[in-house]
Amino acid sequence: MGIRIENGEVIDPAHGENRVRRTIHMKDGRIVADAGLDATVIDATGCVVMAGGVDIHTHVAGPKVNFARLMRPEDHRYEHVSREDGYERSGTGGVAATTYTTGYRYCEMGYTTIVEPAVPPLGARHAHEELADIPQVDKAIFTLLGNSEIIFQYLAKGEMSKINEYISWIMDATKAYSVKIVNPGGANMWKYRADIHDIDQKLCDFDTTPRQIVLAIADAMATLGLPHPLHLHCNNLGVPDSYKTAIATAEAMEGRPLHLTHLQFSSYGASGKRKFSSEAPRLAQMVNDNRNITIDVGQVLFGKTTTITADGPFEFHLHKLTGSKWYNGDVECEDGCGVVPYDYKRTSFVNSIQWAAGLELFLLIDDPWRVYLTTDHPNGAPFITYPHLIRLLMDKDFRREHVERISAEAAAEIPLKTLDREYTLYEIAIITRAGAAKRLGLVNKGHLGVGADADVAVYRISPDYEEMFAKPAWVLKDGEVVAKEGKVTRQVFGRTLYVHPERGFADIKGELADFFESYYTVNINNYPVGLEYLPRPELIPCQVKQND
Amino acid sequence: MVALQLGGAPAATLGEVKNRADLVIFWGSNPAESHPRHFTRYSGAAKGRMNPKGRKDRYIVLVDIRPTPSAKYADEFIQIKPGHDFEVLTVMRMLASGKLPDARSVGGVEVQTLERLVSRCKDARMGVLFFGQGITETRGKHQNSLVIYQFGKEMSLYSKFLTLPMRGHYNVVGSGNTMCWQTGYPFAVNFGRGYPQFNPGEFSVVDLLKRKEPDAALIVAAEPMDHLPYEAARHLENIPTIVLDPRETLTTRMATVVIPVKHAGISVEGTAYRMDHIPIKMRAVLDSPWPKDDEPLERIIQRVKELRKEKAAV
Repeated sequence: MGIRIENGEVIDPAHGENRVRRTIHMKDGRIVADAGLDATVIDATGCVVMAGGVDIHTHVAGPKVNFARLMRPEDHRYEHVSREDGYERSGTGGVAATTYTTGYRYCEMGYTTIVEPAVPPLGARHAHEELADIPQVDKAIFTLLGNSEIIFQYLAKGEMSKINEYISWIMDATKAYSVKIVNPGGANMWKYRADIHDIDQKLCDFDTTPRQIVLAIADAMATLGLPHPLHLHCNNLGVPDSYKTAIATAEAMEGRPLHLTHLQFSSYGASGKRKFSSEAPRLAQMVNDNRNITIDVGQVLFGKTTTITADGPFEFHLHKLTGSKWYNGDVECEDGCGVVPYDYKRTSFVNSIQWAAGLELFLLIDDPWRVYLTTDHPNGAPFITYPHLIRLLMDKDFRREHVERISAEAAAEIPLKTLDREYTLYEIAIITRAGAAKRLGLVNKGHLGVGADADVAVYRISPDYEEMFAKPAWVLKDGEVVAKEGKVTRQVFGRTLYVHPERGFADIKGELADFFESYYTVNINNYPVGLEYLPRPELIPCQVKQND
Repeated sequence: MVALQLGGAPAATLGEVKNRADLVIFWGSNPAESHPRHFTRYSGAAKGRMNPKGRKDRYIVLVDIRPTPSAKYADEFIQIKPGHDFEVLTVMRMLASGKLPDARSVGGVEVQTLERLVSRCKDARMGVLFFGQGITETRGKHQNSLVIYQFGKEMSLYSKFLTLPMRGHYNVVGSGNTMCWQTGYPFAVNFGRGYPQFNPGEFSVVDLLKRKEPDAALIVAAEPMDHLPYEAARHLENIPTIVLDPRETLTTRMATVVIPVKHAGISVEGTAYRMDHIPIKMRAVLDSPWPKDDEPLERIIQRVKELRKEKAAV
């Protein structure tokens, strides 16, 4: 039976609809032109109706997320869900919440699609086992390839077509959706107890550089026709003058499509008395000037969190800086990871600059279609803070109140204090669903046109945007009501989105087997993740080009 | 686990050991008997990127309370007095930070020997300290692992250094991982309140059984009658028990109900996590008349739900 949502104000930026009062029909999991006379009616008077939220970058599953859960039992102590509260499965919360809690919480904010962006290929099986236990949302993983010794070997020999084949194979072997690069070459250098500081620095054991790595992978991805372009975490992230590396990396791309992830963490300069400053305005300008670039922000919000990244050397640096717990997990031939708890303090000069830099990126990038709302969950803040972040963007008085509460020394320096822009609901719909879905290449998501997945969030209009976005009146997944008034009412499971590039790997089959035999400890025949690990798979087609 | 929760650890997958480690220390572990393939596949004879000659490219140290069969594979055997691991490791941490202890020997080991070992760790291209039940199951328990992780983190200031527990018991890492993503905690989880609570020492199985708290037990793929302390195991004999196991064990012999199930990795496909947390897909090679282990569990859950409904109706 279908559902009709009547009397709501539809915000569907993909179709240019801004608060248009019209009925949304859905049936059999899709948006349709007419749901039929027997459709159930939802009266959305006083509400806006948007497509379900799409999170382009959130660390929710896989080996390093599970280490973050494991390492901090104190993080789970104060929040839980249980059957008594009406949930099918119990679990705990905290910044690294359990799988079921994660699915429920996203759903309760009106999100219906999430991407785990950093899975080392060897961890893909683990990540998919966790995704199978995340209810309520569709999900996908990006595979980490920026420190792959297989790619480095081909790069050193200039064998680009073999890189295409390898990426084609590894996408299939990991059932991934796209490719992420974290600190290109840096995690490999960390295996030699070193790091990368410049995009033209040579690796110590392979004749290649971050510039070459990034270009080769971006070109291979274009050749294979992957729906989402290169998703990049730059070298030198998190340190003063990181913005220079971000700009150099963006220039190196020479117009190729690029997604710079959690750019806030790369937006620091070294000016001012403390030799730490926000250079977000320069990066925003760079984004404004280069239409090939999109970003997500990775906003920092104050409070305790756990940092989780494949950037192993950065986490060691953070561990030394804070004396916090530290887990390091290098992955053979592929990548690395680190986990360090961190407390962002309002009173801290550096943390206040970080907080401001993220907001500056949001407010200074003109085109909302090229900036997406993230906190790099949980690195900048846990995803449950999104409604608060939305209010900071939409309400300049609210923002001003918060500026007054940060480190006074930082408040005096930040460009943020002069910015009056307020995001509109239309722009919020772009940065939280329409834009992110478009950049991900998900044609059935992020909009409410006929044929789209019937993933819908209905928010009751309120001047307190935080309250409004924290508790949607209705959330629908695949055309079924799954949450009401910010509370899950029905447990459902979404699909896992993956690609299957057509290229194949005939030319490297033998070499790959030799490489595994020499350097891996897992047999190549046992390595690929089969579809049996994806309980509800959905294949997303690649747009293949023939000019390899 | 508790030690990991207290401070974290520098770790890596075993392929990193194979490819890079030039110093391998086994402490309180006897891989020749407990992990017979470890040596050839990862830590001893294995050839890798920076170890093309395999065994010849590595210096191997065994630290234990007696010369076990693993000693003959090592370049150096260091014998310590039983129960002195914490002291010896603490002195190594002192030496690493440039301080000298007020003694010529500790735990039966010459301080000079430890000084040499510490400087090998500092100079290693990649040093690895594997530790076994001689560390985790001895007096001081997680304090011993904690001092090892601390040592590993301090060594990371000088060299690439890893500290890795020699986990055993088949898929114990997989069960820990699954517990963790579903509850937030790797073991000692109590669902009594309807949501997961964690308190090792209170909710861990040995403590519960010693206090005679459980009045029934469901035991899946575990051998408590063989592995648990006598006092704890004894309580299981006095309560109704359901045991799921493919084999006859001490535990199945005392069980009230035994449900034989297929052996994952032998008669049914499955996934097991290796000691370095890499999940491995396992295939079925033999047929078995028994059900998969999740089938009886699903049916028990189903029946409990029905009973609850019936009870509610009355």
